Amino acid sequence: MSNVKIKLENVSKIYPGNIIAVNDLNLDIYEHELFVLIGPSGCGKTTTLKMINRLIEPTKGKIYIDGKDISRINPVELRLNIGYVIQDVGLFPHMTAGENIAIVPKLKKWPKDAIEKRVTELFNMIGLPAEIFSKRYPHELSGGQRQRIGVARALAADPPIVLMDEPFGALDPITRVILQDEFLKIKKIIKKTIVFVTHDIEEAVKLGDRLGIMKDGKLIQVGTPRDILKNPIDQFVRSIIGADKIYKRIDVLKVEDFLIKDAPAINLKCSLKEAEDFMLKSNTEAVIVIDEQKRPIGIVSWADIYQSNDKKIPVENVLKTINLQIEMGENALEAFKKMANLNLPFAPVVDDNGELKGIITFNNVMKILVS
Amino acid sequence: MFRLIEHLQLAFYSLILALAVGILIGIFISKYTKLAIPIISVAGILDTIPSLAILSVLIPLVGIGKPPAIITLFLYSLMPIIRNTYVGIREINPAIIEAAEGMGMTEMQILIKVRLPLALPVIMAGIRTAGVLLVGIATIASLIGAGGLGEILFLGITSMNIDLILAGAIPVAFLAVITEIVLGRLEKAMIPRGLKK
Repeated sequence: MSNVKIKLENVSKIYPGNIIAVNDLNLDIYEHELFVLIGPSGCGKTTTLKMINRLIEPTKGKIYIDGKDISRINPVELRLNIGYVIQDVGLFPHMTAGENIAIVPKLKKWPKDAIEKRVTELFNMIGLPAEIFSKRYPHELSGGQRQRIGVARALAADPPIVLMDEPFGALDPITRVILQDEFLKIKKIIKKTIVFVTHDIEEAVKLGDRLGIMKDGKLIQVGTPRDILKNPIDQFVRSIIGADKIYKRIDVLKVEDFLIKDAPAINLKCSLKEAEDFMLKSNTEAVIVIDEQKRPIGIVSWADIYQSNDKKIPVENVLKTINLQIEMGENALEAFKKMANLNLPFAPVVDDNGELKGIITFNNVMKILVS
Repeated sequence: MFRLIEHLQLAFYSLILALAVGILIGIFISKYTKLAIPIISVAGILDTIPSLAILSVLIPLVGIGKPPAIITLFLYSLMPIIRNTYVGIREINPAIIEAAEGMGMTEMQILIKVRLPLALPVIMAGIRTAGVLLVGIATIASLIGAGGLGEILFLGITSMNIDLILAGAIPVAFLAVITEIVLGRLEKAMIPRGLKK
């Protein structure tokens, strides 16, 4: 994620009557990332997308692909190397699914057997058996099947860049989720630079490596879904991501977003007396017991301390072991699920070396999500 | 029998001519839409001029016989073909054209591989209309010596011979019906399978 694949430099699109669709946009899209442009209708996201394959020419500014100014590339040549998927699919109704997928390879004059091989390969990838579907016409397919064919068609000639304009927008919610999941899998295999337009924040967060939030032709905020969900730059972004509904997107947050760093911890060699003092001082109900390598071993609560009259014995004799360790970088939702399964109110979080980094607790979840 | 073939020839030649010119004009005005209304109006006006009037105007220009007849018939059949080509192309879902452009098809590839095949059902309907129209109007062409079944019909009228009138009129009527059926079949056969619902 270091090479800039697509660069937009001071790009504006102004229509007659001084209608500004895109306003001085600067954006770097990196190789092999899926960049989502999101915003309300009329924000200029589709216009921006279509300027990348020159379906729309910018009024001002330059767009570069691999450092080359695309206004100097023949548009037909340019588009043959950029996959394009649109909401209404745009499958040619007079051609079979197989013929539709073969369009760009044919335009690029691939040999016949290579086209056939590629088409079969793509049918496999989108999970539709070629022998059944290649001879079907678009009107003989369901909306979801058509959209899969649309994606396969865009990928047919293996273009390094794919532009997708609300590709799942016209589908029913269940189909949409299924196709998104399939697409996520495909995305991992194909290694493409994908620019994806949507107005659905759930979709953006689910699919995007980075998001660009647009309003009135301007990019308001660019960042990973996590960055944006955590630190929306203004009220507009907050409204786009639906800050009130953020709990629904706990799935993009990671363990460290909920980490309580100064978790009370004591060494296993400490005596019960020391533990008692420590707990009183830190006003806690329980402490984590760690070994010499700072690895969490278990917990000690007030009950454990009171069960023994001998306050000189080390805590390692009374501690309760915890059979759950969460690692830094883990998906927060998964971590909380594990905690819930074991009925634990909190869990220690460790780094790569197994060293205690802090804890996560259920109590803290709402505090962080609501803030 | 000879008159029947002559009649068909008249209709056929003018239809071919009208197809070539009409489809080209139709494609042209679907691209330059500002011209669409004026051109379709002109073609429409041509259709309203009585055929006899056009025939008579053409006599001083190209004489009598087959040429003025074919020109007249051609002018009549132009209208449905231009209009249907235009409508057929304009009615295509813009998303399909956008997808074609976005995939890197040239203007010409889009026309030949996308626009025309998709407009074909509508264009074929226009051809059928024109064909039936031509078979009827070709009857009048005999008045300027172009031959055809009209020759028999008008001979019958002038000589008050009912047998001759029927010998002309019945084949013309049959011919119109058969043209309709044949062109209808052709239309079905030519429409790409994916467009049949």
